[in-house]
Amino acid sequence: MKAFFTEEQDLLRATLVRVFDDWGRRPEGERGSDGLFDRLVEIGCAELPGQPERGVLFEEAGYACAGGAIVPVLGVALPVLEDLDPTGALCAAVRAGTALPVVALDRFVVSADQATHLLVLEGDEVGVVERSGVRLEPVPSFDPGRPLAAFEVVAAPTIVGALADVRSVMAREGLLAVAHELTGIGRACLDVAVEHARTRLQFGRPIGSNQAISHQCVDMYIAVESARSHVYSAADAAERGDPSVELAVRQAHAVAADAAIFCAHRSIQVLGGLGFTWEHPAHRYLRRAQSSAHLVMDARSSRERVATLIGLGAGEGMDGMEES
Amino acid sequence: MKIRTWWQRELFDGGWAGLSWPEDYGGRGASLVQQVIFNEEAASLQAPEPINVIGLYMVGPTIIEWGTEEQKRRYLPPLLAAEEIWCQGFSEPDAGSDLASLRTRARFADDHYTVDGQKVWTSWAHVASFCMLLARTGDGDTKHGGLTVLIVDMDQAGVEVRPLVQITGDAEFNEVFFDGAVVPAEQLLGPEGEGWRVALTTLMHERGTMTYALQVASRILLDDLISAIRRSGLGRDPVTRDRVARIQLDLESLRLTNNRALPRIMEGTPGPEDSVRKLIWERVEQGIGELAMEIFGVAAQVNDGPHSLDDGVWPYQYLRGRARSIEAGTTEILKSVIAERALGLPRAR
Repeated sequence: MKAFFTEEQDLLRATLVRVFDDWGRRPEGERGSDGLFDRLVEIGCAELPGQPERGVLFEEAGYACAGGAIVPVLGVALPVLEDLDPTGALCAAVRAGTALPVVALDRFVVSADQATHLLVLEGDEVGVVERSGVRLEPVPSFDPGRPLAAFEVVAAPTIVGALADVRSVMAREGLLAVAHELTGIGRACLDVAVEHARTRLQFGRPIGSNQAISHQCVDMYIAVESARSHVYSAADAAERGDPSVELAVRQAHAVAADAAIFCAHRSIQVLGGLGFTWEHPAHRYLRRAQSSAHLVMDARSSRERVATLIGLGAGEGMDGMEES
Repeated sequence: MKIRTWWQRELFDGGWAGLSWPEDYGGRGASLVQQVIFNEEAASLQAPEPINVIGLYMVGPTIIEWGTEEQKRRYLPPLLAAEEIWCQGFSEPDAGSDLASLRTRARFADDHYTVDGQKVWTSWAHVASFCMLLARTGDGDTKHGGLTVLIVDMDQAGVEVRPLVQITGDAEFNEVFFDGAVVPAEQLLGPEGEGWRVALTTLMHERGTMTYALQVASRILLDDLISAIRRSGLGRDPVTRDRVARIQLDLESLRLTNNRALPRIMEGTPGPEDSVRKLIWERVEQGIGELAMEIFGVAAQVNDGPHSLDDGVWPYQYLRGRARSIEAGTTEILKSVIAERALGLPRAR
């Protein structure tokens, strides 16, 4: 059985860790998400051909809690365009880093601060509209790095494909990207909790020598390792075009969403009061975990789809995104 | 018992038992990957579990790693053929999680060891030909020092086995009393005084490689539960569906984490991080039994007979599940091992 990542893929990961790290070191006011996105485009991240390279990008973005637009643009919108309109100008513009489209099929548009194009509903089809053709109303939202806006389409969208096809790509590629980001978030929360448990002294000894703390860290480790196993395997299934890819991706999403949120909660607990301060990044991870978990659909609908796929038969139809 | 013995003999005759063991000792020299493929096929065909589980998953790997050439040739083929069943004598009444504090003593004189002491929770001792015994031979500077592993013939006057009835009503495990039991010098496994290291090989396999086989039984059981739910008409109930999906996710976590660990396991003995998979497995096993008891209600409380559901598999699974988080290292002990050895957290006090 092959190792999951090749040397080149490990190198990509190391490069990304450095890029995100540099970005993270900048003073908060100067971080501007645009600069980060430009840098990623510069090193070819908008042109990654497929899995597992894309997964590495999304996982490390999650680990750094950086670039709120990366997954919505490159993980969700780009695969939709690649599927429906692979030779179109917009696809090329995304790869060149000059366009940042996002999918906006529901009430809000995400990463409204950076989006240049929206993929919107037009009857039972989906069309592209430029930012100038939309009235945006930013709303105060849970994840400031991935802000929401209410929107109203005022120009006629250019139709790119059927809604069902878009949903189907999102449920596969989009959800896989999300699962990678969630896995990175979980890993980061685990690392920060373990580091704190190792170094924070109370009663004259590290708090991690208490089983009430160390066993929470192990619970996080189990969740993270489970998410990694699911996500890497689903990426492999996607790349091979395996017929079981839908089940693999749904499982990966459900596991990674729970892992990220669980680890975000536990890391704040292990960090104590420190974890409850605005200054500490723990809450950014918690916010990103929630915004990511719900970006394409929620974990509950993924579990519902899993139930159908493993032989329980069709459910009550709460999930409109399954492939027929 | 009978069907499991028959099945293991069938496997052995067909060359499928010990697939990944060396050919010289009755195996087939296949890779662990091939073994895993075999396991998954066995699961899809609902194959029974082989009888000699302690032998196959714990004793065998330990003999392969520590045994002499003569020992490997003598013990491994009949173990694979289920002609000789093995048990493992580690735990004692006063040495459970704190295994290294064990007191069973083996004294060497003339050409043999003489063993006195007591073991407990010894699965399959009532049918075993041999016991892989962890005993104290020296004083050692620490409690881990001075331990030695011996291969003990169970059929002798100095060994008495008393079955213990479990909460399932079965008696799979036993108390074993050693009163002047004799062990010839050539039945020393690994160097004298290095028993702790030998035992660690066993424990790491118990927690790290056994899960490759165990996932098979869990898969079969979950598929049975899914069928039972469909027959019961609960298949459309959203709460039930969510609960089943969660168990499926855990079971897949086990299978996929098993797969991901393969390249590393194939290079050596499993490490502390591999115990994660034992912890996932116990959650799966308990989850299946608990869900069945919850959703089938009183119907699942008929133990057997014509009024029972699925021949009483669910109450059995539910009760048997309670031991999953105790056997092969309790949840708590394994978490402490992982915290210290895999996460680098300071030792608990």
